[in-house]
Amino acid sequence: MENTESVKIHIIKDGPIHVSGKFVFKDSSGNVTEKHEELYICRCGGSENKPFCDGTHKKIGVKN
Amino acid sequence: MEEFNSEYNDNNDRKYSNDEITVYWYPKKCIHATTCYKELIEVFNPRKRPWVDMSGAPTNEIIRVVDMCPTQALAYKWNKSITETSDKGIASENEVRIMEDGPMVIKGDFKIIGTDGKEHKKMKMASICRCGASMKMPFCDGTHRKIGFAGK
Repeated sequence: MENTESVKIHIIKDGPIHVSGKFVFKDSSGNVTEKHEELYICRCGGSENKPFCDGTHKKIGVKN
Repeated sequence: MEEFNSEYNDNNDRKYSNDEITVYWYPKKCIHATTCYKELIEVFNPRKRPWVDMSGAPTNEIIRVVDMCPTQALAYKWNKSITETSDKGIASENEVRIMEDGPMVIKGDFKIIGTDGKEHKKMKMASICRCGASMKMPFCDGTHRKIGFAGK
């Protein structure tokens, strides 16, 4: 086991942010979830389910 | 990315004191979340120079608002303990926070892997773009305000 402490933030090309590891998640309303292990956060601005990715980036053809 | 990564000791860093505390402002960490001046315009007024007026409110009020800064662009130290070098206010646990109509702010021990598969330099805190329009991808550069990004 290496780097068990680090949370990994993977910026997926033309897609969302993949967050994995042990971290506290705070949404924009101030709700706190303690033991998140994996999340996909929208990075294109187009998701209907923000802050989470819903695959909309494929429809709108995001390049970033 | 080099410029963004140099978190500390920037020439543009500022400090403001009253009798009791010194408030530090680190412009490179500021994402213009507007929390400080919405809460306490008497002290934090971006239209004035200097933009921080320490005589505008009591110390406890200033501390309350400094602690609300989502990116630790604002920090404070008690003048008595100013010789101590401890880096106050850094979260002990890893935190991912979504800013309404703004970026995703991460604090703690993170590894950021870019779209090219390469790891970015380690940072204690970073703001990741959510609006899709930053010119400093994957980091926030404040463009969300210009384009009127709305997102929970």
